[in-house]
Amino acid sequence: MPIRITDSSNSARHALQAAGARRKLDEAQERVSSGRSINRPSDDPAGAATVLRLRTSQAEVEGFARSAAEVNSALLTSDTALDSYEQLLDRARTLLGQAVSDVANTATKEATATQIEGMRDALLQLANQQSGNRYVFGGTKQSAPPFAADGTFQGAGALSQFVQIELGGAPVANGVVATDIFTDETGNIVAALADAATAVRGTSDPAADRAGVRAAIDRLRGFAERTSVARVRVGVGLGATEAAADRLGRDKFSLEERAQRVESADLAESAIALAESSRAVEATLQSIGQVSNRRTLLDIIG
Amino acid sequence: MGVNFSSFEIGRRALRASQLGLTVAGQNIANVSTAGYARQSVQLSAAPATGTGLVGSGVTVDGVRAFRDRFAETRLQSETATSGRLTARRDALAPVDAAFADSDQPGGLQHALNGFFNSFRDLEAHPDSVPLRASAVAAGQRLAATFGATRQRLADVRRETNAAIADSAAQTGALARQVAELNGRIASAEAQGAPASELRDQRGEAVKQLAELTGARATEAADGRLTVTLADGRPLVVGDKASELECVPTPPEGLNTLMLEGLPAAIGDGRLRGLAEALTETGGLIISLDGLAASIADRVNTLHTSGTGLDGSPGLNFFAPPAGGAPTTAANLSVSAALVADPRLVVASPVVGATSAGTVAGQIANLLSDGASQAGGRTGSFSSLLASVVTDAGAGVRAADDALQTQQLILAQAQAQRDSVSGVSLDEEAINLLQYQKAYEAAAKFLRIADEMTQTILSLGQ
Repeated sequence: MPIRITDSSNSARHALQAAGARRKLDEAQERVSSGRSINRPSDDPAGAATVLRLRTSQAEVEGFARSAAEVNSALLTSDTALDSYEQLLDRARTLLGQAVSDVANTATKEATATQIEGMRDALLQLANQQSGNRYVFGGTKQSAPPFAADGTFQGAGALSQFVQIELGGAPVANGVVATDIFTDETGNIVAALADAATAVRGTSDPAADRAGVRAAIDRLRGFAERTSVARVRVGVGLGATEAAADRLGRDKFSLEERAQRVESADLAESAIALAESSRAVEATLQSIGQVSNRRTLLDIIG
Repeated sequence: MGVNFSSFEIGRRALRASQLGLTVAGQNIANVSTAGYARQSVQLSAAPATGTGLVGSGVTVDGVRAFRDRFAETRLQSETATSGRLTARRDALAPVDAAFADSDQPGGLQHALNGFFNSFRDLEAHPDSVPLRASAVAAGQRLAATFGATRQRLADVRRETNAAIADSAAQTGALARQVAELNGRIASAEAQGAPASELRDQRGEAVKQLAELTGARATEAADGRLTVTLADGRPLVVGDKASELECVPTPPEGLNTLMLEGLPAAIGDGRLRGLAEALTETGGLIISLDGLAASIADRVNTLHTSGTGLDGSPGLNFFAPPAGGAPTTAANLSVSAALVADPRLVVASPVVGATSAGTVAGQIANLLSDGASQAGGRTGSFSSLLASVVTDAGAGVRAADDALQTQQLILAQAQAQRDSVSGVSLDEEAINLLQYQKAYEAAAKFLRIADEMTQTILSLGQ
């Protein structure tokens, strides 16, 4: 502390004190009005960087959550369609089973063959169904439906579409491709049903006819097994998307909590700091006023 | 011995000394708020006896002394220079802080970055969607625009800082001329024995302002003339001659280089140094931002060209390479015109040669958190690289602000130290006024008594 206090050094000190008090008041006011302790990078550079990284992670989690929901929805649609397909195959096998029974006669066999042929339209509708503007069983080939109107299979070459639903996680297939369930080593299900109807109508050789129908039954069993396998994969995918959705939901909450902890101002603390700094400004200005208004010797001697 | 005409001389000298004391006190009071003023006081000494007299012959005015402490003045100049540097740096960098504030909010760069890569995440789930491709193109355009706007703000800061350098250089020239002129007037006045305290005060204040601008130091020669030198010892003012600080625009950006007598000027402190430091810092931030933009364009384009569009055509560059082979920067980042015209060209095809590795869209989306990206000598994910740029900006401003707050206290202390020697205290001057007033009244009374005594003696002879 200098020995000699002059009027100018007094004034300079007062100005510095007033500026310091006002600065603290301004900072406290900003925290209260914005609700944040970090309003610009310079407030807390490391904290600002942390918040940015957390917000990015939040955005990623939200993106994955949307993807997981989309895949889950697509798989549910696929599962419903596969269930209908399984029922259709089951019905066809039942009809074929009746056709090889001892009570089947020409008339009943003709009726069975007609029923089997009638399943073709339902099958084509199921195989070519769309969700939004996507073919459910189209895979990566979305430019045309898996089957043409005349029953020609045009889904060859399509692959499963994979979607990543978690950071660092393996992508999950968002459906089943037509090739996996509507074709086998010999051909496709439409042709198989046509062959089954032909086998039911039969020839004049009962033994050969029975062998033909049994072969058709076996072939349809093969399609049913492929479908079961596909349903298992869909089930696994559904489990994965649901588990991912749970984890992502928890992550989103945790990230938001962490970001708030870094970025948000404690309102109670901020309000107290505001009140304190406001009082400090008043006290500083009052003390400056008192000192400045005191009578100097010049005032006393008149 | 006894009353004689020497008493009148004693009284006359006493009156004159008291009058001078009052005048000096008045001068001090009048200049209580004058920046750089050094308080003065009358230097008195007892006049010796003349001839065979037994009593002295009154008071002699030896002069009027100004109270200055060279060490305190020099220290004040030095701290003023440091304060000028830190203030200029803080003020120049403050807009940089604003450029990166709310980066994670809509309109901010981090928000645009997240939105761009997330648009590919959405496209991954619907790889056949044309609307989502259009969204990806729009997100790319938003990202490019935000990069450009942020860079422009930094460029504006550099331009304004550069203009401030020119302004400060002009001020320096005016102050240097003022110091040179005062050098001449002080030397001339003191050579003739006339007081030059006020001129010295003015010169001291000009030198302090020069120090605030350039960090210059002053040394006084025997004839009272000051030499003001820059950090490398080259003179800005020598005697009556002042040199000009010239601003020369330097390629490639046309930023001002300060020249003194045709050679680069060494500015070690002061406002000009602070502005130069701010220029360097903002330049570094622009380089980092450009590097990040280039890295994003490069990695996205590499993946995008590895796939096929919705129509099966080979993937194009998502971000257009700048014309003429120029490097990609934050200023020229843009989405390819072909993709803007036809979003179906945006790639979301399966990764070639893989069975379960997802799509190119997914790979692009994963770049946001892929830690292998490189920009500005750093390696990390794009989000962490951008966070580093934001941290650099904030840390620079914070450091400048913290240093300035500390320096303001040091400067206040240096000013107080100078004022404790040279500053005017109204209370002291009031005491001086009383003292000299009483002395004047007493001297006047003495003269009246001496006059009465003389009249008495003269009347005896009649």
